[in-house]
Amino acid sequence: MPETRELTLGEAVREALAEEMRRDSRVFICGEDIAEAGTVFKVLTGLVDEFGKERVLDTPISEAGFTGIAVGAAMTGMRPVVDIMFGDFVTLTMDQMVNQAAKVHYMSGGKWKVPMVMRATLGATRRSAAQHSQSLHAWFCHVPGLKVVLPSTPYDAKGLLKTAIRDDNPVVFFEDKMMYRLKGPVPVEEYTIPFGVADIKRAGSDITIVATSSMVQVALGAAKLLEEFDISAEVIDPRTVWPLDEKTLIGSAKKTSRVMVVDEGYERYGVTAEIASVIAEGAFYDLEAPVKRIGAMHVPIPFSPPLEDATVPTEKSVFEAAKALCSGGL
Amino acid sequence: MTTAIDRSKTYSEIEAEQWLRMYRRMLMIRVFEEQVNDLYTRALMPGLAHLYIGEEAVAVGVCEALRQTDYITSTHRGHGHCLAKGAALDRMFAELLGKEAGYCKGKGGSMHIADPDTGNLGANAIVGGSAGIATGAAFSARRLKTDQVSVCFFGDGALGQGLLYEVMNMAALWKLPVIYVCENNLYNEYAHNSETLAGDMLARGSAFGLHAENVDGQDVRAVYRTAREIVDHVRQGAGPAFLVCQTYRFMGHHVGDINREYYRSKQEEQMWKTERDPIKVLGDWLTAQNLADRARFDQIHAEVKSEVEKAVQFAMAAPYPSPDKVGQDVYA
Amino acid sequence: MPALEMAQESGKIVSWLKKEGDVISKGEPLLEVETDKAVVEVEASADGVLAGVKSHEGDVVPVGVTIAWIVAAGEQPPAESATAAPAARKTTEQPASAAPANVPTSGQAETAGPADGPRISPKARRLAKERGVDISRIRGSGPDGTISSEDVLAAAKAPAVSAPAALSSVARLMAERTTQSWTEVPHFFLVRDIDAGALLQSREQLAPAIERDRGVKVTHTDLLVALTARVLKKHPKMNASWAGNGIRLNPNVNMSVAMAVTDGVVGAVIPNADAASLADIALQRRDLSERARSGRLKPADVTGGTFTITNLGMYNVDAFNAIIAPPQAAILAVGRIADRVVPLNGQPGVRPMMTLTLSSDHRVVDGAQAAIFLNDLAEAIRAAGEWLGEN
Repeated sequence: MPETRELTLGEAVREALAEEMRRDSRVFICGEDIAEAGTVFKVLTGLVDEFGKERVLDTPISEAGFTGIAVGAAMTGMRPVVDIMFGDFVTLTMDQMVNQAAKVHYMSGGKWKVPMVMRATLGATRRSAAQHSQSLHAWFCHVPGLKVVLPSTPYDAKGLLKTAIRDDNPVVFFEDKMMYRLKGPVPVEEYTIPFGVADIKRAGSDITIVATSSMVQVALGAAKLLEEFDISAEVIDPRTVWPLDEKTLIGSAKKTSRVMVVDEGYERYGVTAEIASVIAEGAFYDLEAPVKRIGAMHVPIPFSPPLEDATVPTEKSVFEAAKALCSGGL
Repeated sequence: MTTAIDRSKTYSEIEAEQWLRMYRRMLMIRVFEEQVNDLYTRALMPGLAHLYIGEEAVAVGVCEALRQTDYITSTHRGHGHCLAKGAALDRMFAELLGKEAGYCKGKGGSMHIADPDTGNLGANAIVGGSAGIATGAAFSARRLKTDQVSVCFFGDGALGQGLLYEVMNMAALWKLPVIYVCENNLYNEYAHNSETLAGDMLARGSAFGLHAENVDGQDVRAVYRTAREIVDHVRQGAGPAFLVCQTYRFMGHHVGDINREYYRSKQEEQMWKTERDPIKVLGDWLTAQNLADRARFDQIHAEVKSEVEKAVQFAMAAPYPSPDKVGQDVYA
Repeated sequence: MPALEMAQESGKIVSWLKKEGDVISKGEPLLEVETDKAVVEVEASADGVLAGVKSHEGDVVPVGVTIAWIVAAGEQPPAESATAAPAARKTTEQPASAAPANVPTSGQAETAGPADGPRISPKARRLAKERGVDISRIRGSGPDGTISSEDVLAAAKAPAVSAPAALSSVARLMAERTTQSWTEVPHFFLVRDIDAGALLQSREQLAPAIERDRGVKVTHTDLLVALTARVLKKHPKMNASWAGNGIRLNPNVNMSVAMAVTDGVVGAVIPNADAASLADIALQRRDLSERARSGRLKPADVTGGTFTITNLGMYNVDAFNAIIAPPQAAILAVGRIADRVVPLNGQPGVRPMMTLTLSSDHRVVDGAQAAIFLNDLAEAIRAAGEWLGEN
C-alpha cells in the first residue's frame, strides 16, 4: 500500500495543478478571479504565490474570449487549463469548444493539436438557482473530439486531472461544487489515472449502480440502505464519460443483471441515457429488468430549498428505485 | 515573405522584384479562384466555394510583411490567405476536391485549409470564429518568446461577433503580438454593411487601445507598406493592432450567388472591376514606373496559368481518401 | 396438422414422440398436439420413416398444414416441404397484434397462446431457450406473474414441471381451462331437489334387460344423460355455445360426461345422445370411462360436446357447483341419491332425493330460460319411465 494522506477534493485538484505546472512550464491556468482570489471556491488559493500572475492568469469576464485564446495557445505550444467558475457559463464557450477545440485536429487532417483542459463545476443544492446550478457535462459528451472527465473522489480528481493536462486533446473536467470539501486518501507519491477505466467503488452482486461525480457518494449511501434489505449493490464510477469504459459497465451488468444509472445532469438525452443504452445493447440478454435511469428533473433548477432538493437524485430516491428494480417487476 | 537584401542589386531592382513577386502571387490567387469557379460550376468540386477575387491585395500585401513562421488564421473566403502565406497550389486544389493529398487529407475542404508549415492555423467557417485562436497564438508567441506575430484575417461581417471584442480587450491588456486584419469588402453575405454596422469601424479597435489604421485594400503597395510597419511594431512588443483594408468582393458571396442586383448594382461591380482591380492597379503602376513591360507580364501570366493547370490536373488525378480513414484524427 | 375437433383452426405441438429418421409403424403414437380441448396423441397414419419435420414443439400450426412427412426408407420428403410452411408461429413469442380477430367458431379463445402472456425478462428468456425450458409452463414469481431468470432456473431443475408427459398436460390444461372459464364466463347457479324415486324405478325396470342383451350395467348417470339429452332438444339455448361475439345454436345434442382421469378430469362425449337409446348410451359411456382410466381417449372422444353432466354422487356428495366447460353454455352437477325427510301430502315422509345444480353461462341463457329447462328436466326425471320406457 502506498503511503497516503487525507486531502479534500479541492486540495487534490490544487495539488494536481501545482505538480503539473512544476513539471511542464507550458502549463498555465486562466480564468476569472483565480489568482489572488484563488477562485470563488478557493480551490486555487496559493498557486499564484508559487507560479506568478503570468501562469495563474486572471482574465476579464470573457469566457468565450479566454477559452478561444486557450485554444490558440494550445495549438501553438502551450498547455492551458481554463477555469470556468460555474459550469453554467460553459454555454458562453460553446463555439470555441465545439466548433474550434473539438474540430481543429480533425479538420486539419491531424496536423494541429489542442492540448487544453477546461475545468468547470457542476451540481445543484447550493441554493444558487437556475443559472449557477446546472450539470451540463452531457453537452460535451455529444461532441467528437472532446474528452469528458467526472471525478468523484480526491484520489480520482488528482490522478485524472494530471492525465487531462498531459493529454493532447481538449478535455473538459467537471468538478462538483458540493464535493470540494469531500475528504479522501491521496497517495504521497505521484500517480496518474488513465482515461476510459471505470472504477468499482463497491462490489456487489444483485444490482449495478453506475454513478458519476457526486452521485457516486449518493449511490454508495443507497447501497448501504439496500444492504438492510439483503440487496447487494455494485457501484461503478466510469470516471471518464468519454472515453467510456463500456467493457466494465457491461461486464457488471451481465453479472448482476439489474442496472441503474445515476447522474446529476438532466435525464433526458443525458449521460444516463447514453450509458443505459450502452448497457442495453451490450448486456440485453443478461438483463432481468430494463435499465433504470435517474438524473436531474427536467426543470430549470429552482431557488427555494424544498423545490431545489426535489430536482436531484438522492440516497433515498436511488435506494427506492434500486429496491423496486430488485423486486422482480419488469 | 521578406527576402534577404542582395547588395549586388540596386534599390529599384530589389523593389521591382518584390512588386513583381506580389503581382505574380495576386495573379496566382486570381487564376486559382477562376479555376475554382470553373471546377465548381462544372460540378467537379463538392460543397461551397467562396471566392476571393478582387481582394487579393489584402492577403498578399499583409503576408508579404510576415515571416513563414508567423501565424495567420483565415476565413471561409480563405484561399487567398493560404496561398499568400505560401500554400502549394496542388495540395490546395486537392483539398478543395476532397482528395487524400489535400492539406487536410480531404477532411477540411475549401473552408478549413490549415498548414503548420506556413504558419496557417486554419481557415475558419464560423464568422469571427478564429479571433480567439489567432490571439491565443500570439499569447504563445509572447510566453514562449518566439518573436512570432499572429494575423487574424476576417471580413467586415465578423465585426458583429462579440468574441472579437473580448479577445481585442485581452490582447491589449496583455500586449499580445496580434494584428486583426479586417477585409472590409462592404458586404456581409448579401447585406451591405451600412445595414449591419453602427458607429465607426476603426474606433472598434482604438477603443481598446489597439493601433488602428485604414488602408486602401486594392493597392497592394499601400497594404504592404502599412502592414510592414504594423508587423514590425507588433513584433517589437507594441501590442496588438487593427488594420482595416477597404476592398471589394468582385464575385458573389459564393459561386452560386449569381443574381446580386437585389443587394448591389452591376454598375458598382463594374466600377470596382475596371478601376479598382488590385492586379491592374499594380500592373499599371509597374508599367508607368518602367519596372516591367508587356513581355514580362505575358511571361508571368503564362507561367501562373501553367502552374495552376498542372495543380488542377494533379488534384483531379489524386485519389480520394479511403472511407476507412473517416475515424482517424478525431483524437490526437 | 390433423383436424382433431369441430371447427378447430390450429393445433399446438406439445412434443414429438419420434425423431426425424425414426422408423415408425402405422398407429404408433407420433406426437402430442394440444387443441382447445385437450392434449392428444396423434398416431402415425402410415408405416415409414419420419422426415422433413417442419414444425417444432411450441409451434401453433393451422390445420391442414404439413408438419412432417412419413416417407419410405431412403426416400426424401418432397421439395415443397422446404417452402410451404404457412403461418406457423411460436405462441411464446406471439405479439398481441397477432391474435386473430375472428375467434374460432368453436368459441374457444386462443388459450394456447394468450396474446398478452406473462412478462419475462430478457435474461430469463435467453436462459429458457438455452436450457430448453418451455416458458409457457412457468408461473413467474414476480408481480403479475413476471418470469425472472430464477424462475427459469428453478423450472430447469425440476424436470417434472416441464416434462411434456400427456397426463400432466391434462392437468395443466384443466387448470388453464377452469381458470379461464371461472374468470371469463359469468356463471349463475340454479339448485333443485328432485324426488329420484321414478329414476330408481326406471333403472330397476330397464337395466336387467339391457345388461342381459347388451352386457352393460346401466348407471344413474346413463339415465340422466338420456333424459337430459331429450329435454335439451326442446331447449336449444341450453345446448348452445358462446362464440365470442354471439350465440351459436348447436344442431346436435352431444352429451359430455365428466370423467376422472389420473391427473384431472375430461369431458367424454356421447354424440347425438338425444336420439341414442339408453343401452347405446350406457355402452358408449362405459367404453369412454374405461379408456379414460387407461389414458387411451382419442381426440374425437373429448371434442364436440354441447352440454356436460358431472356426477359426484358416488362420492356421497349431496350437491356442488360445477364449472362450465366453454364454449358450452351449461353444466349439470348431480349429487347423490339419498333418503331424506320431505313433506308428503302435508306429512313428513322419507323419499330418495337428489339435488341437481345447473351452472349456466349468462351470456347465453338467462335465469328464467335456465329455470324452465331445469323444471322440464325435473319433470322428465319424475316421469323417467315414460321418457325412457320405449327402450
